[in-house]
Amino acid sequence: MELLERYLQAVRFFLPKHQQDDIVRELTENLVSEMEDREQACGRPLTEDEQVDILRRHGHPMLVAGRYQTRQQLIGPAFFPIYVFALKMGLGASLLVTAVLAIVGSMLTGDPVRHFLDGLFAYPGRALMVFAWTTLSFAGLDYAQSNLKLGPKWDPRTLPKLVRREHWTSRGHSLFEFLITVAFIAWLLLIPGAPHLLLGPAASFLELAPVWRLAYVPILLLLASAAALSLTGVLRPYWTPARSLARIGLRAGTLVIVAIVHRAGEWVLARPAAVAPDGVSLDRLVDVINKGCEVGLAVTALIGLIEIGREVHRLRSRQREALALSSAPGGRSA
Amino acid sequence: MATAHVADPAFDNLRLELRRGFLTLAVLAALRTEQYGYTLRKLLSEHGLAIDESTLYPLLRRLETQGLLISEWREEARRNKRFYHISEQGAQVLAQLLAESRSIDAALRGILAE
Repeated sequence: MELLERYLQAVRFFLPKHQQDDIVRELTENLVSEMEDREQACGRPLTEDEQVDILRRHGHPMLVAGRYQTRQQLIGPAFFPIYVFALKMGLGASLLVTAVLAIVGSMLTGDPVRHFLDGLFAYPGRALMVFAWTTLSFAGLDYAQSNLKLGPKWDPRTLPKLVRREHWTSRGHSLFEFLITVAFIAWLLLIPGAPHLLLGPAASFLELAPVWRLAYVPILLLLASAAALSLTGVLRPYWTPARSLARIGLRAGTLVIVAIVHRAGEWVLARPAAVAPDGVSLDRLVDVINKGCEVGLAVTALIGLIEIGREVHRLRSRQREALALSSAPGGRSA
Repeated sequence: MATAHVADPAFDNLRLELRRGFLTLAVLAALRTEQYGYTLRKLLSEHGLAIDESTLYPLLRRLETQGLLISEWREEARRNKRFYHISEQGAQVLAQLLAESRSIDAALRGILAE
């Protein structure tokens, strides 16, 4: 019977503490009854192999104890697909953030290759954190859902409106847009403390004109709004008139900022008492860069205008489609 | 009547799902007469419904938690054993489940006869 005792000890180890005695007592009785039954049938004590056979058929101690747990899984089938999606998004975002930080970090130091590689090696740790937090969050959600019995209370009227097939947008595109915008915001936030991220080696003899201080916060706010809009596209990947209007608003905001910045007339200045590298005229260099900035601002304004035109056209054509569908017999919602 | 079948994971999974509900029904039906774990398993097996110990014993506890079974420790053959029998609520649920099972069976026969 030593084997049986060892088996029951192993089962006990995996059982919830408050149930250990009760379950082990019952298992003992059932297994002893079975062994005695077999002994009566054979007319002799069971050999070790025969005891092993009975215990093996009864199941591995961990599995046997697991069957007594009320909760059999960390994340149930209802939440599992959303969990996998969230995990993929989190791991992708963390990879991008790691890459951006590695690039920025390598630009700030004297040994770019080593710092870039060090930055990349931080990814496994970050990925593990993303995995742990996502898993814990979904396990908590699943636990709350199963314990609070939230399921039957949901109201189908709160579901998103019916979306026509052609109005669906690419979730991948929105995600890419979101990640790029967030990376750009991060870069922009670093510039006041590290101007060479924008000006490169010329930061030692050039500086940004005061107009950028005025425009800095509005640019950040505009980018944060754009990131929020992209995130909406990831979570609900379809076109809506409100989103078109928001995009038009963002482009219009860009045009206003471009106009204010353009009025300043100069965007890069020579640092006081700065000395340019040998053979370079500082005034000439500032002039060339400012010319380039002017062209850049003009191109940005032009792109903004084209985008506004495209968005207005899309909005109007879709509103016409919706009107035609709703006035047709048996019309459906857009 | 048992039918021979080839090993197929899809069949095995579906068979497991199909048996799960019927095993609960069989356990409730068998416990109209008092049994303890091991004799219940033998009884089910003798009627062609073999069930693993690691499935049966947790099932008995779940049914007891749901109020469908009642258990008590009692001495038999100089040893303490946990005896189970169906509760009043369990008997009502068994009657409802049997009616449901007959209705499903009738529907299935109708579909197969078409």
